[in-house]
Amino acid sequence: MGFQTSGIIFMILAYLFIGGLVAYCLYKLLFSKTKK
Amino acid sequence: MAEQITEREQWGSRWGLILAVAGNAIGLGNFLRFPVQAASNGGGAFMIPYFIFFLIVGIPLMWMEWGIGRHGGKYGHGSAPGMFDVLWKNKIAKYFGAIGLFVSTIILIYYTYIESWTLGYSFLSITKSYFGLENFEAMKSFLYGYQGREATSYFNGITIAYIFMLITFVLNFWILYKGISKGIEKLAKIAMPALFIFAIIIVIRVITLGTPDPAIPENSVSNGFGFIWNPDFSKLGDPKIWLAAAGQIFFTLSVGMGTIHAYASYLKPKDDIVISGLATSATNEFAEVILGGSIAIPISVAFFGIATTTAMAKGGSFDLGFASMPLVFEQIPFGEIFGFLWFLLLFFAGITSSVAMGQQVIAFLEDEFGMSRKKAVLSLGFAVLLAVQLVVFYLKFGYLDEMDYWAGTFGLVVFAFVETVIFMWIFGAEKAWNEMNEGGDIKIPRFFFYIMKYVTPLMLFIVMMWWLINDAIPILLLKGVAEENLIYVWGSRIFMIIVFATFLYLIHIAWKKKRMRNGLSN
Repeated sequence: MGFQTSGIIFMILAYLFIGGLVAYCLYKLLFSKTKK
Repeated sequence: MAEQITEREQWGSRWGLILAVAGNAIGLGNFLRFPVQAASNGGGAFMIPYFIFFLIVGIPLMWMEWGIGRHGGKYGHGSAPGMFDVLWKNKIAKYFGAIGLFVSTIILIYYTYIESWTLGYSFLSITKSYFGLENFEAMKSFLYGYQGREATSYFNGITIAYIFMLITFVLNFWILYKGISKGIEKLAKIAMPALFIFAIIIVIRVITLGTPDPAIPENSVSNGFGFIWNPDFSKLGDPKIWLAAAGQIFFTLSVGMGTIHAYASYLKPKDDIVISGLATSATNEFAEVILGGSIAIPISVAFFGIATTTAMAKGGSFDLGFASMPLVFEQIPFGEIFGFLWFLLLFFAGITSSVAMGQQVIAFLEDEFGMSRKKAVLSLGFAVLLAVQLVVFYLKFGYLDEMDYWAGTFGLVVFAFVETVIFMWIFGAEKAWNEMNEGGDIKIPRFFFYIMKYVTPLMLFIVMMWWLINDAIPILLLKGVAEENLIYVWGSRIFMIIVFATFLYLIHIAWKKKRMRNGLSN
């Protein structure tokens, strides 16, 4: 079976989506006006 | 409604709140349920419906629940009955909130016991108690012996399980007693970073395992990742896969319970909820997809192969977590430490969720009955301690499973559907939209307005109907229940009916008292 290219692509896309979301939220939390 | 708003507790910091809500969302399911669902429902292809539902059900519900919670908090309500009462000017509105209290309480009762297994197993790992057991069946028997489901030579009754249940129970209620900032927030600030550190350590160990037995090259971590991620597009035509993805999103974000509402009620009226809600969802997804997807299944495939892992996973998430993982730990260097970290990680995931369930009920007793926190914690604690005895001693008869279905599965989608209709349709979509965006660090993109108003309730209705027809009716009709278990299953149902009726009665009494107070003061 192996770890197919399509599987690797799906994994990378999912990681990028979640990583992007986390990075965006961190950016907003660190630099937002209302941060405490 | 001219209600007197009393001084309520507040979160110490925004980070603390986000960690606490993320802790509420991140539970055992992130590390045990998700990988099993993904592997058995099309691998990478499962992620297509999974992320679609994350966008059209998960995130919208998260924002709605933060919005309902903060709105209720303005009027001094930290639980669903009071929140629904201010959203919908109708006498019956508050009674719908009983669903939230019911769901939280029932799950809290059995989750406390499940959570205690993880603490118990972290102790059994560091003391190498299960080391030496050679196969999956022996490990499963060890687990069943621990739980008291089977009489085994490994344990003398359920003494150890009971002790850890008591420790878990005391820890939960001690944290609840300490309050929002000094209890729940402090726990989240310690447990959440620890959980992530432990998970990252274990993931590094997993990906550096390679092929543990070079004689069997197909048993490798790489194939384990392939098992989770290789897409099987043919599965996308099966509606069950889409329903499974919707269900997973639902469970993983801990929506539909009233717990997020309770936490959000301690916000200030102008505090942001848009980025906080998004950050909570993102943190949960990081824990689930990136960390949860990289531990149990890849490590299991590396040691036992795909066929055996599939068989183990079919036995349920607990078999994977409590039977196959220990088998791996006893085969790797410093396995006792990795086992300790794995189960402690699960314990942290569990306790940060269970305190959230307790908080909603405590908020109900404090806000609607004017009880002190001490009295509210003692009242709930006493009730939970009594109820958990039934779960402990009747576990093997399906008592817990019955609760898990009606409260922990079906109850969630019913509550989510009800709250969505009340917030977006009765309170009003535009008012709800403004409420959610109030004080936001960003504006929620406008297309989510239409998703929240039309798509989310429609999807929840479809999921609710699907579960009703395919699962709820057969379960209600006791299909597949062994003759000897019938009395316990009925006992579980009667218990749940009593809990639900008690909440309805308490809501009735609380509002009656309020009417009398308001009448006297006028």
